[in-house]
Amino acid sequence: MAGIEIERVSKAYGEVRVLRDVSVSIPDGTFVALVGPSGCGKTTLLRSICGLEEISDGEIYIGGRQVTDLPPKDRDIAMVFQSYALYPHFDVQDNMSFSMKLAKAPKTAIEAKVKNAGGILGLLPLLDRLPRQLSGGQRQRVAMGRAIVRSPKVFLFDEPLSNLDAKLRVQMRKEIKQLHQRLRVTSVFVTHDQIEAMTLADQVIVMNAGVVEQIGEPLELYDRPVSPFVAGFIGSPAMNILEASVAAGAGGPEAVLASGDRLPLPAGIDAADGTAIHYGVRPEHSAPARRMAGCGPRSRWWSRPASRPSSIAPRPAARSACAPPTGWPSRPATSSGSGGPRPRPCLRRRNVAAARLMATSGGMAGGVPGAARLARNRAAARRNDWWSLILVSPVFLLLLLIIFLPELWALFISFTNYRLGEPTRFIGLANFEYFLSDPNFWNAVWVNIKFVVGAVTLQMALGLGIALFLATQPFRARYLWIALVLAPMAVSPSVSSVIWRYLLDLNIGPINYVLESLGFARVQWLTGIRVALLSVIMVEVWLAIPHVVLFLYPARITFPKELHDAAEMDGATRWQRFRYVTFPLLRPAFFLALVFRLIITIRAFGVVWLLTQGGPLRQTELLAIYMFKEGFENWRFGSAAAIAWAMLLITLLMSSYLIFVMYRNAFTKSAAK
Amino acid sequence: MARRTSPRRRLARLGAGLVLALIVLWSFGPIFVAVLSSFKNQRDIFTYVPTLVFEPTLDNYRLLIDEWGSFWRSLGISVIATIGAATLVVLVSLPAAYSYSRMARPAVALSALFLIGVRMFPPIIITIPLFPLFTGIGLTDTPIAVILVYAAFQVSMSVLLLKVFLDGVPREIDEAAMLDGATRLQTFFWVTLPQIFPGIAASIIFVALFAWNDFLFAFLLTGTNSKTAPVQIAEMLGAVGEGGVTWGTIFAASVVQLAPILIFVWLIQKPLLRGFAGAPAKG
Repeated sequence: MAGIEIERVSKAYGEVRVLRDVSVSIPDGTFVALVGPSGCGKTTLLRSICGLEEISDGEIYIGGRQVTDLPPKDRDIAMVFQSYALYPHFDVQDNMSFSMKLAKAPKTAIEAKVKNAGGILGLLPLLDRLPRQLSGGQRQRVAMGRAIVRSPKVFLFDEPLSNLDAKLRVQMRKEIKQLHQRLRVTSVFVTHDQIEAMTLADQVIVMNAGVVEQIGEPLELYDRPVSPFVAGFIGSPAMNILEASVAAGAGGPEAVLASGDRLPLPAGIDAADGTAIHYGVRPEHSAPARRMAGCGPRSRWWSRPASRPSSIAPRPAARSACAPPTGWPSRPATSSGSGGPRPRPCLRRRNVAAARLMATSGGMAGGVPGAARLARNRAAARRNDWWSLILVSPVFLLLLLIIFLPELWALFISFTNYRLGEPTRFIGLANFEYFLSDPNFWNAVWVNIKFVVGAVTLQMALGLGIALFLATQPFRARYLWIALVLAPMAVSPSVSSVIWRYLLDLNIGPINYVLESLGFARVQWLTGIRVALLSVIMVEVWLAIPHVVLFLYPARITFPKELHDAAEMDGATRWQRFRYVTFPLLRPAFFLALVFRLIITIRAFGVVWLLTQGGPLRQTELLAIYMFKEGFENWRFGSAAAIAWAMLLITLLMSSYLIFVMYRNAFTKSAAK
Repeated sequence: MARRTSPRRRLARLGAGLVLALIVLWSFGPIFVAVLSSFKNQRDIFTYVPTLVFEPTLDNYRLLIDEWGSFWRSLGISVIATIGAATLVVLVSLPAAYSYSRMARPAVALSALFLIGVRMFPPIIITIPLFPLFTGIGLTDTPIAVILVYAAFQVSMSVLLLKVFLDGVPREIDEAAMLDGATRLQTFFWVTLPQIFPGIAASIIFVALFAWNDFLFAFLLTGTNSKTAPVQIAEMLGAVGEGGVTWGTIFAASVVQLAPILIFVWLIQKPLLRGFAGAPAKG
């Protein structure tokens, strides 16, 4: 058990200062709620206490021990997360006992602790369930159980109830309160729900824009907010805040509104005549009064404070001037819940000047001045950067050794007459000149263009049709059919060439048999000069369609069905629906598939090589095959490398768009997080 | 509950069924022919009139087992190359994916651009420099050569995939483990890793699909001692009709090579079709 001392803690992300000089002292055993609008720094403060967030400046003490530089696990705290953060692959028992197992506690001790916590929270029948088999409330209990088992000095709650439904939230609120009364462990509870804060906490800290606005007991905040912000934030409906000025009245000073109406001021207000003030009135402190005369069409019921204003504050509200402790109206005896000062542990805003004094005089052990902390944070960040580099380095080593360096070397030999086992001589651009003047090279370029255009057009068109057909028709055993459609994806170039060599065989091929029995002549599919290219395009399309389907089918089935229904109701025909709804929505996936398939088809080699070896008469000699022959049949590696580099540049140029899209999708989004 | 269907509707359904039949015939028909033919005897394969009804025989497989020790050997090498490549890829891509997902600042994240760029390299152009290089250091004709190349070509895909899966594991769970007293390493192995097993399985499957089926690299970088199954089958195909190799044997060999990967595709198609990117985040 321990109190928490937060001294002049600041946190900045670059220029953005999330916490500014926050100083709070939380006595042992208190239940403290941290409230404020979103972005006010309450969660950051909580994460700083538990050590998940490094602070930029200041000190944090738990139980008198300086923990600012300790890792979370050594701070003796437990936290309940908003999402519960249960380990999905552990059952309830393992979830609760993980920390003790890590600490190598004896088995009997672990069991006893888990039994005890499970008993308190009513989890005993659920111990061997997995988190996904639990309801929201049960998960919440397990998260608390996990915290209890550790017997920490401090409990931290990060909006733990916000994922529960309203009824459960009320119940869990009660349970948390009871738990605290039973265990009496210092607890810090972050919430944006002021009802939670007001009902649960002994003391409430209101934060706004990285600073503590006010600390106090719930009713104190309600009745005596120190600033217009707190006045407006606490209470629902909010306090009415009117602008007024102080003027002398019959029975002492009064507040004068812009309309000229006069409202009473509580006794003991120390304000000179003419001072501009905020006059705050809680709705429940006002009552209907008689209709005022002379207001014409704008006549209204005027709210008149029944007994007293709820709050006033000097205006303009310079923050430091907001809390005149002496000038506050005392709460009327009529309102409920006031019982005079109670002997409750008192939370206070630390005296900043005193804290600074202690830090500079070295009175507090282990106090690190801001500059040293900054250096330390920077060193930690640098260490993190180094590790992130080290972890990615094996991948880059592999790529460097197997792809980049060899490719660079290829660039080098493309300027030489490199042949295996012969002396190498630098010959400048001769290799490039050689292949550029070779008619066979231009034949290969032309064949490649025909092949790519033919194959990609066909596979995209057929793939799109098949994907849409499969996604929209209501079939039984859908996944069986889809598996059969995707099957060619699994077939290696070797096996597909076996299959197609047989199917297309001139003499024994079933396809020629079918043709002949339909009255056509047999076709020399793979050896005929005119049809060979068509045949290899067909086989390439057969192999590629599953890839296209894999791109387009998931894109199609994730469409909202309402879109089509809406288009149908708008009177769109089937074709119009495709033209104006389906295709535009599919376009990103279609385009990605198109670029992807283009890149893969340009480099095609295996199947074509196995089916025709580039023949007949170079009719199917693709660029890759031309290069391959240059290198591995003629053994002219120099010119083969030159062709390789030309191909590489063309592909990289073509694929730069794809690279950009993939990079953006996979990396920059999360980097921005 | 029998709903009456209008004749028009029934006709549409019939048409759809017909289209589906055509699509399946186109995509799976050729594979089916290969499987069927591997159970035919030589005479049935060669009859010009294709036979659908025949007496199934295991002769082709028996022949493959008895006389084609080289095929089984190449299959063994394929297994080694596939397992080796998959292991290597997972080992190097896991830490990199973790770094990209949890640690890397934009400067390091930029290096991923490279990674994706490598995906675009046409494999064949790398064979030109690799062949003399590997020959120089005596790596050709060992499975290590193809393992390295397969890993290099698949590693970027695997890093991407694993990163997406890691991004799907909430950071709060890591933080909870750290609060529970786990070191970063313990957190990774006990808490994070078990949750990305599907991602690891997926990337293993991608590598395996590539390594098991590759013809190009194996053709160029392996010789007599480390021939993989696709190369062996291609060689058998080259010899068909000329000497000793029958279509039946080749079909049997093809089916043996094809079967494991077909089963793979059957197992992974559902997650594939749901789209990998969305799958882990919803888990």
